[in-house]
Amino acid sequence: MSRYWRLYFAALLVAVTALSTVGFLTNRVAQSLTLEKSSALAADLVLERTEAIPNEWRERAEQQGLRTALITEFPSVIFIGDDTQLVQVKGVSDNYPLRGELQWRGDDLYTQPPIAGQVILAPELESLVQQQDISLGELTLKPSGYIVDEPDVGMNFFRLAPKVIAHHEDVLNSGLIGPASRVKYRLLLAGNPQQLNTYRKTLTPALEKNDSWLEPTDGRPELQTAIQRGEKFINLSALSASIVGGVAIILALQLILSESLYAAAIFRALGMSSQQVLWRYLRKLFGITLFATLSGILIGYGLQWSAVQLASDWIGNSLPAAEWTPAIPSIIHALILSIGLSLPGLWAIRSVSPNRLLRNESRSTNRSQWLLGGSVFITYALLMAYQAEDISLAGILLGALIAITLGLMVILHLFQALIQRIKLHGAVGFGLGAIKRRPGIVMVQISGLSIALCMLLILNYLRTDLYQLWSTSLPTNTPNHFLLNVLPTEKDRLIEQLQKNNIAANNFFATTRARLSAINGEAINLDQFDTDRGKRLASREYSLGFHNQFQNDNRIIAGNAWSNDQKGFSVEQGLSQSLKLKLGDELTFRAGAINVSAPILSIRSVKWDSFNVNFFVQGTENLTNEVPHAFISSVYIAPDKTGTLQKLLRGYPSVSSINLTPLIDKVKGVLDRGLRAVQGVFSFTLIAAIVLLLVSIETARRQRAKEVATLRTLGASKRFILNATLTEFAFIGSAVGLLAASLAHIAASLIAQRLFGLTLGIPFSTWVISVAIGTSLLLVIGWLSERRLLQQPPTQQFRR
Amino acid sequence: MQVKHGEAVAIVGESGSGKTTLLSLLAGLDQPSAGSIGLLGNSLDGLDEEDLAALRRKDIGFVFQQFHLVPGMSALENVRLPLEIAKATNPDQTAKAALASVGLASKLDNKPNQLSGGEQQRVAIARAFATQPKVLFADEPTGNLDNKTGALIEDLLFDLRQKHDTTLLLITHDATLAERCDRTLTLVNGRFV
Repeated sequence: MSRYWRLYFAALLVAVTALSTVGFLTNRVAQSLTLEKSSALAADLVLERTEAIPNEWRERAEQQGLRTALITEFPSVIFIGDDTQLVQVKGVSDNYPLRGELQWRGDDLYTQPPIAGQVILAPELESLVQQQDISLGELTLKPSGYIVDEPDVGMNFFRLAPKVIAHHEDVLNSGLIGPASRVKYRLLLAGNPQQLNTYRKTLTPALEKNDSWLEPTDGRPELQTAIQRGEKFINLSALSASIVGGVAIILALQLILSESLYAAAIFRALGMSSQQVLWRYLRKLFGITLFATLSGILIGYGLQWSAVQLASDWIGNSLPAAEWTPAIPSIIHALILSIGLSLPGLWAIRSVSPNRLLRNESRSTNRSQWLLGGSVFITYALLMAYQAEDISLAGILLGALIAITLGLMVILHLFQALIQRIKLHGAVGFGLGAIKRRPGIVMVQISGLSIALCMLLILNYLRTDLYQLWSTSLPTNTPNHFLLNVLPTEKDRLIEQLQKNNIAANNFFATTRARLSAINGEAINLDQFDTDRGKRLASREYSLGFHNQFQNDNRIIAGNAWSNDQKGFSVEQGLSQSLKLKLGDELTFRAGAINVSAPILSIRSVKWDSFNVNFFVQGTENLTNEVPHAFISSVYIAPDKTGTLQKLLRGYPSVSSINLTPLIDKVKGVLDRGLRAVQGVFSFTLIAAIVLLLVSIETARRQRAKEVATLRTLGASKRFILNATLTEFAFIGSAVGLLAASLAHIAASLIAQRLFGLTLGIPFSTWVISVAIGTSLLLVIGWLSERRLLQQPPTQQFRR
Repeated sequence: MQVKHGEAVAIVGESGSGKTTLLSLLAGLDQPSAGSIGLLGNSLDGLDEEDLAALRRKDIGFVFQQFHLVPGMSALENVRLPLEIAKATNPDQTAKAALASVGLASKLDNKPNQLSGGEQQRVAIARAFATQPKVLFADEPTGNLDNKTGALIEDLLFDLRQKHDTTLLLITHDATLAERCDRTLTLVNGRFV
């Protein structure tokens, strides 16, 4: 294998290693994030219905290798001494939860579900219960402890009265479940996606209209936002590693092309047919590509394994084992890269004319370079569309690539004209003359390295700033308690008492539970929605909110703010898309026996992770009187004032307070895990960038070695040569730094805004930092490579 | 081996006999493992790389079989390069005059890939004589050229040598070229015979 083929092998090996390591690692983290998502459901898949789950269904799931658990949940009243309390009763079977963790505090901290005879209560009931027995229907139970964390707390968040969790059998035997009870039965399932899909497919025909499947994405929207961001971070990091690795391959292929064209001309001159010449290179290319790809995948698997072992406190050693499926995208990726990028070169090799090439090597190479440039974009467009699974992300990155190339072509052209005019002499003139002597290589070096540096800058800022931005978007007085079921008659008194206790409450929203029954007067028919999500959203029950003002985090996307005399609804953007709703559509909701109809006056985005009281559908205040309603608000309670709130609420038996702190912590935890994964992936982009740097230096090595030998023969001092080299590298380095910073500014803000919904302000110092990194890195590399050349006798370099 | 000022010496020998190695040792481009070399009154043994570079800059010129012009630089820039390295006054004018003396006044801006082999070698000769060196080392200067062009290059080389009173050491396989030198040394397996 010649030196350049070895370089191609190394570049591809590094690219595939980076890709597959990232692939395996992200697969593990993604699995872990899926588990996180699943923990918000306490399962991978849930079947929810209003009739009891037939035993046969559960048995069938277990026969198919799935793990199962049961939940029965309904609102009821418990008796504590002479007091009564509205509660949400939840009966759970022995193996609940299948995902996530239930934590409760008794005389110790427990994670097992309550066994028969045990009951655990929401913490807000603690002051009320005070060690007394509680009566749950026909059962009298002694509280065993208080809930600390419940994985699927969010599933019916808004109608949550304080939770009472008991063993499933006890709940069924409590005598509380009758024909009129509003009971939800859930079958929790956990297993691999294939098993779950098979089970779902076989059972679906047996389901009734109101039965529904709940998937992990149906968890709390606050958690979903964090999970989606985590996934996008990882996706972006994998893509950047592949781009940087891909650029290294382009450079290596460029080297092979320059060498192979000459050799191919000789083969043609010796009588080989163009097909024979082409086949000779194709065989070599495929052989080396395959070997590098398979080696890269194996190394990648080993690396991700060691990376997780080494950084177990960082990434978490509880990650599930990696699947082999990420190897497939790596193979496809490597084949697309090698074939896409080498086809123009192979075509040039096939059609090479020995005479013309032997007389003038560079002409054919130049045309091939243009072809290569064109194919780079096509290949990357394909790769990005494939890898990003996100059109806007791929679009942004592809746009950045095109901008780099076009911008660089213009800049280099202008610079060439400038140095031509200034006529610089001596070492500086010789150094800057490199732009004229090898414009193609300089351009490839600058664009390749600026892509790498740009990616590193973007990832770095996203990594650090997004977390900071996200943290600051949750100010210290972020509401951490929801107050639910405030009766209209209690509202003003409660507000007054909260004020007296210096507890600031946000807006009180009137709210009611309702189901969407008609759109534009036509009853809902689930078949009219294409997606499962649409069907699910159309059949679920909503908490409708009523207030003329929106929360500060809401942004009206279509329509206008409301005037006092208007009647109508505002719909959350995602919901409007899933249900194909538009401005002016007349929505009819059924709350109990009452119908309320009004047009859509606006569509708005909601920042679910703000932890404000937010609604998918919010109505104008004047609709409030048409439906039975209670009020909901959120308050910030300092940790030392929790007792004050509980005391205050004793005068309001119907009001429940929900402590959001565990949920806030959980969201932070998910985001943090995503960020840690990105940091791990970030280091692979860094390695790929270093390899790219070395390959890019290699592209000009032969020419540079000859130049150095010539200069030394002509009597140039080491200082002259070093000064010339350092001038050239300083120019390339500063151009790389400037270009990378400009692109990072544009791309990072686009990515932050469009993908993460955040405004990212990259500090001005990025320019300085980027130029400093680019210049110093190139200067060090330039000095090291030149020092090596200066140590060898010029005659040796001439002979190579 | 001793070469006098103004003398033209041809070194001949089969491939691999050590001709190019000898030339690079004499020019201070490589270090001998044994023995000593004196050049223009200086012993090369005691000189470091910087002193050797200074000596080459001032007093030595080179012409190679492969021309070794810097690709991407025009003929004028290539010839101007040693003058710039030597910090000569009016490098542009001197380089233009040198190119004119080899008949390339009309191809100042042509790059090596736009010149024929003979023209490239003429640029290399102009570059070698531009600094008016005392000694010129030529490694098979006509080895890559056809007979007719080779003869033209030979004439050019010897005319300029005479004009600048330059000592010439050349390696060649060409008997005619060797005959034009004052004497011929034959190298076999690293030894003169």
